[in-house]
Amino acid sequence: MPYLIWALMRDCMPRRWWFGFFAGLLLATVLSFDTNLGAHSLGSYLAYVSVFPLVLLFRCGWVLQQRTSQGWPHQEKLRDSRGYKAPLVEFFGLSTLLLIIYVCASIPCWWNPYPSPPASAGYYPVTIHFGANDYWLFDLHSPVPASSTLLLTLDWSQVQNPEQDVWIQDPNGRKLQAIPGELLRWPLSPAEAKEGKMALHSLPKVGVELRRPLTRLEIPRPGMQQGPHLLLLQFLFFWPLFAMLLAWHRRGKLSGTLSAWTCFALGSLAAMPMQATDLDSGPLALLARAVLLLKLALPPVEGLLAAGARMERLAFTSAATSISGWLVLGALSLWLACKEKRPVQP
Amino acid sequence: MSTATALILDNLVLHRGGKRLLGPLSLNLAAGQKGYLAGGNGAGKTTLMETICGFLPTVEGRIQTATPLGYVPQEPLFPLHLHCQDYLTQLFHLGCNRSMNCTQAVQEALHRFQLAAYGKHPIARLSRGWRQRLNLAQAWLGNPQLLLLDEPQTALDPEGMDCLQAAIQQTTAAVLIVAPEKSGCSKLAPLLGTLSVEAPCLI
Amino acid sequence: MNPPPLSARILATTVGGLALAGWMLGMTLPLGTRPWQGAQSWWNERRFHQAAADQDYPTLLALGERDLQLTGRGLLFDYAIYRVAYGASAPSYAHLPADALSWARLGLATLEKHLPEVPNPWAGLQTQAYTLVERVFPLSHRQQDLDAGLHALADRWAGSGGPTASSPGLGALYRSWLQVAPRQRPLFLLQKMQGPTSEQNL
Repeated sequence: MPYLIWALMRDCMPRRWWFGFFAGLLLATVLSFDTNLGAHSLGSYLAYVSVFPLVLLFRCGWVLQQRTSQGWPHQEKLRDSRGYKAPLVEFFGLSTLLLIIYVCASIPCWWNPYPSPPASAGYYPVTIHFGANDYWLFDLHSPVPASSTLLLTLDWSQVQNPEQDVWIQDPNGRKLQAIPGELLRWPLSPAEAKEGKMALHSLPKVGVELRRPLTRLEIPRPGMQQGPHLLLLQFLFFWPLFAMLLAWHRRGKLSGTLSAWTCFALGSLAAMPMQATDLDSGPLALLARAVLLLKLALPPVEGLLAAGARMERLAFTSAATSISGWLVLGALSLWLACKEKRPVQP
Repeated sequence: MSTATALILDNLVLHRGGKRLLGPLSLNLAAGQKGYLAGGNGAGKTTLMETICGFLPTVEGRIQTATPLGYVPQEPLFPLHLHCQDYLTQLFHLGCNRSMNCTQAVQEALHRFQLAAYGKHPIARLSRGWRQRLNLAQAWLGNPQLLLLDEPQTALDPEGMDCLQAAIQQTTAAVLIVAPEKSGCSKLAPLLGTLSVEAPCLI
Repeated sequence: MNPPPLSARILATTVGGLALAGWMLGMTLPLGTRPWQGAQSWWNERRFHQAAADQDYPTLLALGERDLQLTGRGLLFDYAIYRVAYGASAPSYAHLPADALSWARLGLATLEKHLPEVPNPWAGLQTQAYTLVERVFPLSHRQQDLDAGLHALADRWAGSGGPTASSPGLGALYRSWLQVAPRQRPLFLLQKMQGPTSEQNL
């Protein structure tokens, strides 16, 4: 089996492609971390790195299609009597390539000639559904990282005695003192971060007003030391997609390229952040609902592909159960790929 | 299935494109027995071979084969970018018989059809005749118990035919050849019968 | 290879079609979008610096908005607003008063459009306050411009300048402002904007 794995790896990544890969990695590092040329952001680097497994996915689809035209399916039927060796070889070969890609991509996180991006945070607007009588209901839109903090700007101009103690409290009794002229920093509890919804009120009710357009959710950006962890999560996102590719190709009998496109579509759906969307009626809304329904059928793993300028919003938001579900989906796909219908031999 | 029998076709009816093509066909091939079925164009030779190999579904009748199988397709498909040796090594590992030595098995297959000098050549650079030799070599790889040869003489020069003849004589596997009449295959194995669309075939 | 079964083709077409439809609806974020956005923002930033050097203000604003949309960071946007609203309307640029007013209003209109979504609205409030009080009001002489500017400044103080520019001095100023009688508050703000303890000196 190692020889066949090595042969598949050579087919999928010929020697000159490795030069391209390392050149691409270098370019991604410069464009992401260089203080003058680059965006100086880890999220940008993670986004560029996610291109490599995508290229590998389509390249693998093409190689599978070529192998079909080269008579491999017949040879497999004749020689691989139990029918699992060839799919396992393909899966392990692709997994090894994916692993190499991510191990190499981790190198700039450990050893980087450029200065690390400074510690920073992303700030996101928050929807406030109800804001009368010093009582506010916040919608943070889907789960947010547990390290997030809600920033409240309070207007005290209508308060008769600004020197009295005023507290901001949640329904569970957790409270913080509000001080005029200071941002109120409300660290989210794990439950609030998971729910994405929370309620606060002021105590006593003295007429403190919340400046709604200035309410923001502060999410710290992961630092360079968290890069390998985020790359590992990205690896876990793409890994099952390769098993799905094999299942579509072998069990679904689709061509390699079409299988790759199907996996691309499935991956896109899985990576789509869940947003509350106001859907009207009509054919487009119906289509949108169908898309959302399909999205809901997949485990919520968009947090695995936290990349780009706003990656802190998604980073580390996927629950262990969701990740396990996604991996089980991959294992199921691999099992289907191995369970190709074969003629009964005596 | 008796260990002395390499192939049993029991009232096999061949279909292609949803239409009945040939049969019912019955045939018993003992272990080590060599035989040749003749048939004209469109008689169902390739369909028969692909059905025995399991590439096409068996609609009517029964097939039993000894394993492993070696198959020489009429129109071979090759990964043209690979070297001959590399190709055969990959095929060996695909069906990996752990009791055999891979390098030795590949070298034997190459030598049997005088391909040893082309071991490091990309398949793309081989002529049609040499590709046919490679096609034969892959079928002999890994000591198959049953060899199915679909028009094996195609594109072979007299020297190649001699190699093929010698290989068939030396092998302990059962060999079934299908080819048109007067194709020169009668000297490779005795004629078992003629495939004909018109009449049932019982051999 | 046998042709794919009808069920597999239907399933693949449905999955692919729905994903494509979702993407077309702007609801999905297909794989590869983020690297593409990264490359776009990189190129956008190059053009932004060029536009800043060329003093091409409309382009500067457009590219700032584009950067806000692509990265959500708002640094370029804040700078574009500052350059157009406060910088281009400065007397030292020797624009005609009408031109200065026009640039200031254009910058402020763009800021107001995006204020609810920018990551650092407190920086925008500072630009808004100083532009309205120091640039727009002297040219327009409209009381509501002055009031809006002072109101923006009070809001900025209420949040002590925002999380990235938190200053105890601003908080103390806000508390002092609250001690002043409501009628005297605009004057207090004006004094602090122009006096030796103005925000720029804190």
